[in-house]
Amino acid sequence: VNERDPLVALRLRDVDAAWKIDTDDELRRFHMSAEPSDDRAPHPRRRGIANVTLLGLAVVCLLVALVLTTRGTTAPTISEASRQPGVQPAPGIATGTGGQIAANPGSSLDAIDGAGANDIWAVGETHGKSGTNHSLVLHWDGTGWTTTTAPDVGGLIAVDAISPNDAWALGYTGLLHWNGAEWTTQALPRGNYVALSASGPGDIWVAGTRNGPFIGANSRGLSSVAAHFDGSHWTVMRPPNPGTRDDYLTGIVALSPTDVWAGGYLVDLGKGSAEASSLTMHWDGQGWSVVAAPNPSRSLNVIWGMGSDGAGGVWALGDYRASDRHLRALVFRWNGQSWVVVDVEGTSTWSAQAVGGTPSGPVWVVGSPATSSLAIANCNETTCDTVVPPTEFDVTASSIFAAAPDDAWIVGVSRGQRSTPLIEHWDGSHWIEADVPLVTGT
Amino acid sequence: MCAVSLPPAYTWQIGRGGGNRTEDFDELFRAQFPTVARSLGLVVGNREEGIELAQEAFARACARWDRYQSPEHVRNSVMRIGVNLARSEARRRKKFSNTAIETLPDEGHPSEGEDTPSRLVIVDALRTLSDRQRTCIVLMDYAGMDSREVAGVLRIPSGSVRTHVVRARRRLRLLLDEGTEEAHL
Repeated sequence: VNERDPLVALRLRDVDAAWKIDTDDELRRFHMSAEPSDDRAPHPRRRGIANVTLLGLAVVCLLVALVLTTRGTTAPTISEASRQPGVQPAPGIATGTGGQIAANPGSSLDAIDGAGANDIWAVGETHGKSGTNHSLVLHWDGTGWTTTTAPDVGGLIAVDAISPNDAWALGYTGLLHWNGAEWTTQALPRGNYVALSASGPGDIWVAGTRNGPFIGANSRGLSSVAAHFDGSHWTVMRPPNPGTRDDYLTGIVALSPTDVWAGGYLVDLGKGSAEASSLTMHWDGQGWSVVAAPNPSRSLNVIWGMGSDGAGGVWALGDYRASDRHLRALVFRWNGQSWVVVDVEGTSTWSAQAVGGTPSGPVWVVGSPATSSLAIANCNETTCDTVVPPTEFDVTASSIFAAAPDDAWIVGVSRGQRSTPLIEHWDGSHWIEADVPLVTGT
Repeated sequence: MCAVSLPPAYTWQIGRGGGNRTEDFDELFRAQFPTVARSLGLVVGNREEGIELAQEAFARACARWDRYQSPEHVRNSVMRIGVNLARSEARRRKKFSNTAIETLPDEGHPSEGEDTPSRLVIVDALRTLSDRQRTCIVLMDYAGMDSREVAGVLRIPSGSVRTHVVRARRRLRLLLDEGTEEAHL
């Protein structure tokens, strides 16, 4: 067994030619992220520096200016926060630590939702030393973000706040419920669930993927799975699997018990088939049915998230590969009859992840490109304007919650030498980075 | 010794208290990074992810730099960190080890045409294995580790590694033969 298998080893060696790696460039990146940097700026862990266009440089400069400005704006809040027991300002911001590893090393935020403007949950994970992840729960009470004790179900990837006494958070290894006083673990059917949404206390949905074919065309790959909790029992659903190899659900949004949307992508067997095609399906209270979704790219279309704009509108977010092989944001809006492709202005390459909004306010779409930068777009029914374009910085936006037209929150992660949680707040005129309580890594 | 304050061209001393071997860190990184990055890429089915995981793994390895006894020790440790990161990152980013998410334009990658699908046959084949089988086969048949080293990386008995590898090879051989037939159609 300790001898290499010649055929397998030969085929594995295919990657040497196909996956070129510029070792010197990677070494530069490594040193760059390891070098002391300005405490105020995210670590410029760059990729493809040669590809930076003049526009890109201008954008970087603008963002640096924005970051420096907004840090100044938030300074009073930092000192205020530091007086609260249990809440400490990020040391890299408040005091500086001589260029050492930034605050909150090895943690990130992945999802945010609120039961009101002053009752918001942000969830994510802290990283253990050997790469294990642990649950991280932060709460906004109207005055500051604080960490909240919760059972460990691995990193948390989705959250839905129904009311002050009823919130759900989905983790790698389990499900958490908030009853108004504490977070407790809840039963969850088998499956790799990555999305969670609830329309009310008795209508909680999770979606994801599980091994093995269920039904339909899918004959040998991974299958879509959805499960519903009515307040006392789970029902595992078997949604359609139109992809002949794999069917993935990566997003779900429940508007009512008879109006639920799930999205993801499918992979077909066959040499000439696309790498991935968009997949959306709808639950009408009786069953799931596939709803045709556009595929702007011939080769690759992926939906990473489903969401509501706060006014009842349903959106699908993801990315597709454009003809120049760059990744572009994929944004669809349901017009009541069919999916409409929402144009994303600008040529920046990024991936849309989440949508948020209020009936009277802007609709925000946030995301990150494959190069891990934050992007924020302000959208109407037909067009998204990128207001914070992606940059070379490793800052990722994962989720958004809008409480009011002048009150919205984005969570994500800054990836420096080690990742740190990111929270940005919209005050009606600017996106400003908020103070994140010190999260003790494990 | 891999601290943030060191100059880029520092030399790296292996072992506690200034052991008797010194290695140039840059040389060690150059020698190990491509294999580590591609191995992790094969585990997650994505080149870019593999590179990011390798960067992060090397960065985390810095924190425990003085514990390493040899270049192999570093490689095995970096691989272990990377594999653990891959497992959690894959789910965190909702990525199911699918080539579909290999989305970055890739210089040096053969240009895409009707008849040259960008996905690698082997990456597709690896996807059909369990996580354990895939990791074992990549570490052994690509990275060139032996079953004892792989067992250390995964913290499982080396007997289990051998079982995974035997099954993975059997399956891969079937699939790769099948892929060849398909290509001739």
